[in-house]
Amino acid sequence: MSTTPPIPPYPRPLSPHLQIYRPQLTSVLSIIHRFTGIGLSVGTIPLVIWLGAIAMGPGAYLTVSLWYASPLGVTMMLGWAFCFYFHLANGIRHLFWDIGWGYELTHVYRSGWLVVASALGLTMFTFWRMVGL
Amino acid sequence: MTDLQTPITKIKRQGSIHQGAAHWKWQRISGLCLIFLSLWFLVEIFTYSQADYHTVVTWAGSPWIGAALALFVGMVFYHGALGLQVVIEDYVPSSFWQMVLIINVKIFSIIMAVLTWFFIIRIAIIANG
Repeated sequence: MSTTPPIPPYPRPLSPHLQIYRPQLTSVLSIIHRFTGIGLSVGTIPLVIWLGAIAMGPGAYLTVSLWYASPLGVTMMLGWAFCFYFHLANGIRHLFWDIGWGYELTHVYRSGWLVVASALGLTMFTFWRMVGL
Repeated sequence: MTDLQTPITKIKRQGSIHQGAAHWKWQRISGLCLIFLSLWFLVEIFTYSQADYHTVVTWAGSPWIGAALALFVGMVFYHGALGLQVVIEDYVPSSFWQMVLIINVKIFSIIMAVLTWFFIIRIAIIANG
């Protein structure tokens, strides 16, 4: 009895990796969900700094406020806003899937594009509010 | 070498540790809570992000707002730690480094949450002092 598995004539194919897999709305949104989640995790740090500055007094609060109102600060806030809106909208999409709704392929694509539209629309609204203020 | 029988010590560490379902469930429960908490926070932050110091302290120092902020921050770090754990489990091949990173993420999240709660209490003291 042979216990050594036979050597295949050519290497077995690997499972499809991101680099060779044709991007689809479904897979791209799934990847963006992860990246925005990581982005939001990093984005908690400015929130903690903001609350810390309020706790430390008017001087610290002013410094941090000016810092966040700088062009770099506003750009980062908008990046954070996009991560937030996307993760929120796609998270709601996931919760609907979890209760068994929206699994038809047409529904998956429709909800996917709705997530994209919501995230971009709300980010633009936030941009308008921040620049308008 | 012919090795038909896997040593028990080897297979004992390979199977499920029966924590996946709870992780899955709490990731969704915390996510559901965060829909409401984060939308509340977003509306508030639109109003108070550019306010002067006195206004912000009065806002964040009031009991209900302070409690809601504490709850929001706690839920954010809980949900974030669960989410980062999945990313680490998926992309870090070594089980040793997986464990090291997950423990670090969890400890860091706890530290950040406790720090923020301390800040919120401090703000409440300033607001009422």
